[in-house]
Amino acid sequence: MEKGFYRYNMVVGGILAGVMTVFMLVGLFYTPYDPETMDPFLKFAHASLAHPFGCDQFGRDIFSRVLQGSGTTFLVAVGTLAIGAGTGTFLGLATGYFGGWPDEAIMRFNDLIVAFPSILLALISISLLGPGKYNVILALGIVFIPSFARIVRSEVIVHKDMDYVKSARLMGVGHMRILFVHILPNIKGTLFSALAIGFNNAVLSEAGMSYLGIGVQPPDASIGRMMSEGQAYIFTAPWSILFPGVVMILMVLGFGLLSDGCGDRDA
Amino acid sequence: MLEIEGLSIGFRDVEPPLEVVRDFSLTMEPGEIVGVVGESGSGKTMTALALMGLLKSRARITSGRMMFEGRDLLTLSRKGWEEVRGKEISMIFQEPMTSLDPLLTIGRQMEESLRLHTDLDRRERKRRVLDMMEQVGLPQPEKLYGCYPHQLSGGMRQRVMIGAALITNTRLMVADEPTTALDVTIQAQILALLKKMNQEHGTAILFISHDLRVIRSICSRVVVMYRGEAVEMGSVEEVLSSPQADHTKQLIAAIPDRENRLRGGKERS
Repeated sequence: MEKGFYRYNMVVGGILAGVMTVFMLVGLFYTPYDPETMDPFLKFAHASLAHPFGCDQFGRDIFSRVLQGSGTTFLVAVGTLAIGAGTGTFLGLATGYFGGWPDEAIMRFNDLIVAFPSILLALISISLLGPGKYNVILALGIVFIPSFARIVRSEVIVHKDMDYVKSARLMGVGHMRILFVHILPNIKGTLFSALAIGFNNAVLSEAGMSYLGIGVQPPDASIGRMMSEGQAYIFTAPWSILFPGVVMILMVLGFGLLSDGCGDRDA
Repeated sequence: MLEIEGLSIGFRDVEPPLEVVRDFSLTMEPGEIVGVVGESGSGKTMTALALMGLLKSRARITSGRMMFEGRDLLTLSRKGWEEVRGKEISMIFQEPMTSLDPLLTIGRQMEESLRLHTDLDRRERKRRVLDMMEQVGLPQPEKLYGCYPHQLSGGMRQRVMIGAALITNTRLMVADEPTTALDVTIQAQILALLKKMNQEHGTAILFISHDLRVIRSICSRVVVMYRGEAVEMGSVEEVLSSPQADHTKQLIAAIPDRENRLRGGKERS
């Protein structure tokens, strides 16, 4: 049952994550209506063929806004991962492989960051840098470094003493080549699953920060901000918070299942 | 060709300082097969790793000299070692199941040394690899070239390892228990292969084993190690027929062959 169950996760997660990725990518370039155009006649319009998700308190098309908002979210999540996973992987490879005092120093600094509530850390960075899309990416990126560094480090430590790495050393392969040609491909299963989880966390963190008003700023739409705005009308016009919420749930669910699937395939 | 003199290896960071190899000396001529025999923990593998410059950072060579073809191995830089390893000295391990990178094809792994140590282009490298696969007795080289390690049996993997170790015409191969993980028939095949490669390429082999029978079938000289020291050294016939050291006698007595069993039976009756 186990195997089949996880394969099922992988397939469902893959399809869902794929569809949502396409959705987010489309949102970067195209929306059926201008997400900023207000139309007083469409204020709180119900869902219809012309406006599948209905309209919000300013008569803006929610579908277009969700589309654009998920595009922004995608950008923020990918940017966060590029900084967090990129730097984290590099640090993890270096510290895990070479060890010694640099390892000790970097990992203790890591612990320091981890010991700090991450949302607080992001808040501090934002209050120093000012809000906005790119600052959110930077702040979240830094917060994400330790988890990747630690995951990669522990995998590298396992692999560096394996016989195939020793054999490669015995053939005269240098350290850099061992790390990037021999070890990195062998830990990519774990890395992929960490990336999928990381993507989810980035989406949720961005939404959380935007919800608190310190994330993505107007005129950029963001799912988190739409939910915080729609909250006031949760009883009169539930669709203004429902649809952004559903889209986010699908997004997170898809990548979560995908991550589960990746992890199992690797095991 | 190889001259090890008074080699001692120790761990300094433990109290009291621990010496795992003491005053070990060995000389090897080109094309020779020398066996190192001893029980687990007697320092065989440590000596081999020192010879490859791959001791763990906690272990240190405390004294001694290692000369290989007129070069002092102990003064080599990291870059210098990377030039020697794989090109002039190579090593194969006990576990052929784990010694290959699971994500690289057989062909790709066998050509790694060529890639690092020669300027051959891709087609030339592939030709050399296929040729070597033929030599080490791998069937259907063209087909195996693109296979992954998990598709091969243990014996075939050890053949791949041997091929990969010899592909740059290395002068010396260190074989650390290369047949221990294989069953008896495959063991005999691998030993025959090592002997054949030794004769055809003139590669000297330092053969490490705990099994005197294996040593007897392949080596001309043997060093017996016990608790980090070389307790006896000489030609295989000499050492086996008239052992001097107590430990050698024990090792010989431990060979579970017919003669011993018969002798044991006589003594008892």
